[in-house]
Amino acid sequence: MSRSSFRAMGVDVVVGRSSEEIAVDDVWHLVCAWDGIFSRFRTDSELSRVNASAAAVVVVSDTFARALRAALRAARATDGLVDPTLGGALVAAGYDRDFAQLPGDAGAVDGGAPGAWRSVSLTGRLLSRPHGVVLDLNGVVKGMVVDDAVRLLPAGSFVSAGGDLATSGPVVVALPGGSSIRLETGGLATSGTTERHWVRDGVVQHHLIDPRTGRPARSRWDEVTVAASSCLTADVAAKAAFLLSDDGPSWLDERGLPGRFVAHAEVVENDAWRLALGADAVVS
Amino acid sequence: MSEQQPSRIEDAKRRALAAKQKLVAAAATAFVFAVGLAWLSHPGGSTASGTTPVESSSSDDGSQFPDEGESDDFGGFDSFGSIAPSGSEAPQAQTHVS
Repeated sequence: MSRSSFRAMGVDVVVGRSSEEIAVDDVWHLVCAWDGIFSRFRTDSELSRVNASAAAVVVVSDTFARALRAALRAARATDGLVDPTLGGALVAAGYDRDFAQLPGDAGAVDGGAPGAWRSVSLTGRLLSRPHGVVLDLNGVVKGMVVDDAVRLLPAGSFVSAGGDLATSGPVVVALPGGSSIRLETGGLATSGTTERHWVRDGVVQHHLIDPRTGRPARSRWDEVTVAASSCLTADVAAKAAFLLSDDGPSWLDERGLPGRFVAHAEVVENDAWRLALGADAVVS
Repeated sequence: MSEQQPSRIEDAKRRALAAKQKLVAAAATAFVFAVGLAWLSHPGGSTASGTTPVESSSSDDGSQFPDEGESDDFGGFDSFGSIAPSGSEAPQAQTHVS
């Protein structure tokens, strides 16, 4: 299997395919197009224009509506843990520019507003939201674009963006903290705070905002990896499981989703993960 | 005199009904026109005046309004992919926090 990679959406995108003759141009165009729509840091992105608009109702593109629809469904399925209205809270925490350009400790930050996904309404392509709600769809966009990208490639290919992966054939995937698994099909995603964090007023901040507080979440876990039917589903579930902290493993088990949790040197696998790998479930 | 009175009442009723129908039609036309004007006047609009009731943030043709039920990107957690032991194979990819 050959591999190609490029950088887009602030992450490394890796394309693995069975034939050298398969160009990655289509994947590159797709990812760049989505970045142009959903980037928080490009003033010309559709997301930035929507957030800057004072109009109560905005007509959005089909792609934007599709992503927002998925985000609202994810919010409903996670009881609001994965919330598309935390753009303001991210800025309040200091994440107001591309991560690579974040300055050092720039002093105290304010808490952001709690999540307000129930206040967002999407009817077709007509979006309405209260004044002051700042959307951030990156909780679903990366997973969606990876799922779309792998569909552009022949069977047996995989696409990974920033470690979130979708495949149409078996691929062996290295896991955080060591070991590996074979992902037969579907998606695998990891959420956590080991990479994307910064300091404000001596306090570590990160991008996984707890919608209940509007502040960076406090979780027992450093990283949570989930396997699911798609990269989008895996990514949403991994974020929710991270935010749920101690309740994360059982929350995934209740949904039949395999999850692997890393905290410092400790690795915890939920029952679904252990069963999928042929191990016995932990009887509690 | 008594024979003409019902006729005048009927005339008044007809005039009132016609006026009402015109008013409803005018209101409906004005609403459709206002929505259409707002739609067409912001093709890919990049500015926000705050005075327009409906703005467009996109440059799509706007020909379709997909229903809420059409999206199948996120259907909940009702199914999952499959993982298995990797054996001795070397990893071809990795998952990690980005």
